[in-house]
Amino acid sequence: MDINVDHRGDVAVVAVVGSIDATSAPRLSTVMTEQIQAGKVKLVGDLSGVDYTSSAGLRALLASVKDSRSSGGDLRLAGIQKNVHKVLEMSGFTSILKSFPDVEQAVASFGG
Amino acid sequence: MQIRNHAVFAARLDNTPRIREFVRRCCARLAIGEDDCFALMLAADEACTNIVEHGYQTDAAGEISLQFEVDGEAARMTITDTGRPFDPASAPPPDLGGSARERPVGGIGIHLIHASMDEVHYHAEPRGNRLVLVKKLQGRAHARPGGESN
Repeated sequence: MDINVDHRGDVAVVAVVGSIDATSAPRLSTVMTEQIQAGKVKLVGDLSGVDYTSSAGLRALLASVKDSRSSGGDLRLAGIQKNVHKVLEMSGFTSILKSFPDVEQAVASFGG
Repeated sequence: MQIRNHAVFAARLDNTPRIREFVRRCCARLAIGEDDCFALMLAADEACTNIVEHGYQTDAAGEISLQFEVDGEAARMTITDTGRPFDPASAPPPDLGGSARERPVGGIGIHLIHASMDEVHYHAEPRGNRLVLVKKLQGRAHARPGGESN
């Protein structure tokens, strides 16, 4: 799994490529936590390159959305693939996480 | 016709991609559709992750055996280990309602096993655990003849 962080204004876009599982999820948590601790509390998780997530990925996303919201920000998702969407849906995460078709719309949703 | 594949993995978290790849290859050989294959990979991953994290804990010498069979219109995965007894059905179901703040971080893996499989059977063995996961297959094309061991 590869992670790349790109800052667009005050929004941090965390792009993930590969599979998120119990081995790789802790790295995603670390990157998200680093952003939040650096004051980048408006986060977009670009999942267009993620073909698989297990519950470990969901735990990382849930922890990040809690942390960012408690700091006045949010974690919003972009470009979710079919299988990842299925896992989010089975777990009831689609009702608590805002998601957008692409990164541009997710970034714009923070209102510039 | 019953077709069977079997593999043994060291009980380490970094083996979860190999376990998923084993399931994916079994599905490809047996012409199992993409949606069913994804459900089987997810359930195997969650079950094996639980075994490593809760069954063996820090015991690096543990092993996980995974047998993959297709019989008629169902795929059956039998996962055995010699770790601490752990019945997935005994874990309380996670609260999947409410806001993000109220949602506990965890307990979702076992829910995903139950949500993606049609049957989940746990058997306490004299020396460990046996978990049987059954998925009724939606559609199967033409399976390649003959089983093959990993």
